[in-house]
Amino acid sequence: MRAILKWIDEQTDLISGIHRFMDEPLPEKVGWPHIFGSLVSFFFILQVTTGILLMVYYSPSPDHAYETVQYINYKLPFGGLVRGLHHWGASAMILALGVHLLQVFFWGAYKRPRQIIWVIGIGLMLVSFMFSFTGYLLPWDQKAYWATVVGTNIAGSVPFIGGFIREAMRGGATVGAVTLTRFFALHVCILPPIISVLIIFHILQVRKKGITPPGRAVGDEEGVPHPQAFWPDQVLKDAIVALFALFIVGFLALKFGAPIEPLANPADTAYVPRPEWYFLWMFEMLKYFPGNLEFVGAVLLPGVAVLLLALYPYLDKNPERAPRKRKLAATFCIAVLVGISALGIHALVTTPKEKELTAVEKEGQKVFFDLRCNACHGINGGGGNAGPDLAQSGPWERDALKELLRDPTKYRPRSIMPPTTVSEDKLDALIAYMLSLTPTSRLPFQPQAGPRKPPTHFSETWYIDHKFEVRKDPSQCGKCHQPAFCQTCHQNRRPDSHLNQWLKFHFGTAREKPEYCRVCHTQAFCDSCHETLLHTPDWLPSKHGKSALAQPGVCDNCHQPKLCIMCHAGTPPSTHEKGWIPKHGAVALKSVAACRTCHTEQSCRSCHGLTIPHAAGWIAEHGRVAISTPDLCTKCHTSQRRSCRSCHANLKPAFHGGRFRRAHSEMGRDRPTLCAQCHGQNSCLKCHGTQMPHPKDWMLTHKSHGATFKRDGVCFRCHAKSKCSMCHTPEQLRG
Amino acid sequence: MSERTDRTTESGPRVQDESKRRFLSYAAGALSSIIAALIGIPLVAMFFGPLMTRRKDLWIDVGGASDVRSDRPTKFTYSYVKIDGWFEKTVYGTAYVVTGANGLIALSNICTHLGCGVRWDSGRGAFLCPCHNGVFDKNGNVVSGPPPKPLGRLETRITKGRILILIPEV
Repeated sequence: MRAILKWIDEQTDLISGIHRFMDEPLPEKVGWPHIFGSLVSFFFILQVTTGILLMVYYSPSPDHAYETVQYINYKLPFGGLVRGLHHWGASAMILALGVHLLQVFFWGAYKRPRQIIWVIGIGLMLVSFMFSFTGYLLPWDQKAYWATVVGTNIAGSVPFIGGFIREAMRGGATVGAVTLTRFFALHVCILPPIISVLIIFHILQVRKKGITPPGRAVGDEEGVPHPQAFWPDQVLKDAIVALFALFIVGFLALKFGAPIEPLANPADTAYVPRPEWYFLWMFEMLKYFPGNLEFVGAVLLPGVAVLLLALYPYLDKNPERAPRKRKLAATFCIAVLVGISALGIHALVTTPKEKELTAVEKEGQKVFFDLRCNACHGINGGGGNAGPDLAQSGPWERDALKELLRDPTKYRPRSIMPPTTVSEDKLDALIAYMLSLTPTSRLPFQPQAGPRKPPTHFSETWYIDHKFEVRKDPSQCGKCHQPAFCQTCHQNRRPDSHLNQWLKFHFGTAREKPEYCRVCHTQAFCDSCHETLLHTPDWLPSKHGKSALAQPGVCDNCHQPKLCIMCHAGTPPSTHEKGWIPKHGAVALKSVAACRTCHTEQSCRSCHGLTIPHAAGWIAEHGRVAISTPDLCTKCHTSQRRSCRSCHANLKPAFHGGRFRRAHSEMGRDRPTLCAQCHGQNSCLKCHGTQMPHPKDWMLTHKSHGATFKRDGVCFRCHAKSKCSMCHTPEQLRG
Repeated sequence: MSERTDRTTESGPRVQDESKRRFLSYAAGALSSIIAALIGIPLVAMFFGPLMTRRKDLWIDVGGASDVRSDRPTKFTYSYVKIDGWFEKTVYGTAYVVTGANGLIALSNICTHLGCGVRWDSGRGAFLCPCHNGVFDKNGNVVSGPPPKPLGRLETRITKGRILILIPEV
């Protein structure tokens, strides 16, 4: 091993070169405060290694970027941790970089002869910010999209050439696919070599010029003792701090992970874009510049500030390094630091907070997701687009909302929303959540449950288009969806083809294109009718009559009513055997529809003389019919069956009032059977003592009763005594 | 080694003795290795992550057993959805089912030579490979041409009159 290393060293001078580099002698008093430069390097290495692994799985296209990030975050072993390390490592690197910068400034380490190290350092800081800006877009979530929109717009505020810069950054007029690929290329291909070259140059310069001896003024570096070496004295300190830093970043990555927001949605109006914490102060500062001066705040001031910062070593002529001997510079630096912090904190405080949900509302939110309401209803753009966006709808009334959820067809008969069948508690929670929604509410991120929908399903007109797509190739839908999937909507809303006379004609479609039916229906659906009604060879002789009687009207779904007559006109069904006529009433009363299979209403009328069974409102009307054609009623209503007496026993008909008793003789004479319906055949005898009205041969026969009548005076109840003398002589009467 | 010592001495007075320096070197080396391992393990695991995803065999319904003809192989095409990383795709395949002595045999249509798709030629009564003239008989055995072994046999199962074939490790 040693021999190999020695040979390599002889050939390349590599190993002794590394030794020379690592054995850099360090001045006294260099130690723990000097770890920050190494810490930035450590975070840079962490970013490179984690970044490479993320790149292994990442795909820079709007179709897949978000999916791949989800895949990394949720599916890959350690994917979430690595992405978390990359996210938190970026922030930590900026933080370490800032501390390093401040330290170099306060200790005056940028002064002669190390000005160029400072200038490169400022360059490194700018490239780090560019890494941050380009890396932001890559997950293609809401934050990515909006941060890039705002960032590129800021670049676009430069006078005259701003539009060009903005379009050059975006690769077009809007943030889209081309923006994503060029940001990706910048982040992983263009910036890494640049930053690597700068880092190497930065470190080589440090190595060449040596670490600034703390506390020594410019020109007073001779004779400073160098009691220690970079390896191992300083490396050990660096390693301890790096390990500590790794634990912190690792903890943050495990505990909080890297955020992932809903898929980038340019239509979201409620999104509150906020940059990363280290850009917040700039973001806040822009609020104080009027629109036409935005360029000053966004580009000019930061540009001039960075330029001044970079050139500061050449402007600062003070040879002293100790901060207390450079009061002006130190004060100015602190003032800038305080200003930046104040702006940043103010931006944090004024960021609109999302409304905190109460416990019940949170429960309701869970129900909302459990029921997959978000599949159809969006909340400010997040979620589906089939139903109304709930953040933009409302306000609702609690009771009406409850009714609507329980029965969506209550207000819109053709609503496709399935009824909500959860328990009362859950429904109340859901309603509480829905009532809490405001136009600024947002749908919390939901990890994708199943395979991603194809891009067609995201089109705004998909819910109109899908019925055409289904017809083109129904099996296409079946690749992902179970037939029951269609039913969730279509149980309330059948396809338009199924309206009107569909049942009559469905057979043709089912036969030619059975796959059309399979899209929504299973075999069980066909069987529900066709199992009992399947027209098998034995259908006609033995089955159809039973089905026709059991499900009256079911034949009419397909057949014209005349079809029965074709056979049954000459051949009555087996039920219609001898003795059927007296029995038929009972069957007809049970189910007149069964009769209607063959017989029309006219058939009943031809015998019964009126519509059978009696139409609605018959009771009110029957008196008139009973009076005009009294025999009609008694055809069916014999004493066994419901007859007049069953109602009228204690209830006189309306025309019996007033002077009826005096006038009744006329009615009794004209329509004697009418009276008999209630009063019986012999009721007249009670009063009249004889048959009423008198039989035809009464004039000839009344002589035989003469003596009796005379004695009882029966005749004179109606007739005047003088009536007898019209025929009889007084002698005859006296005899 | 001597060069290093010289260089250190050259720059300034040497105050550490050799054993302390060695201890510090080991400590720095060990800590650096720990850091490298802590970062490296998740990265390596993540790189090999897709290999660790659980796979399972898939039985696919290719058609009705009554559709199989006794006189010649019957072609069935099938498809299934495969999750490929973040990607979901439909895989299509073809299987020929023949009636053998012990029931149905499902043959893959992938030529064992270089993987072209063979097809049944009813005129010659053999499977022909369109690429290098491989010929297989009705049961998938090599008749002539370069294929080294018979056509692959897919495990089959008949459930409720449907033929299921086994797709290993989807």
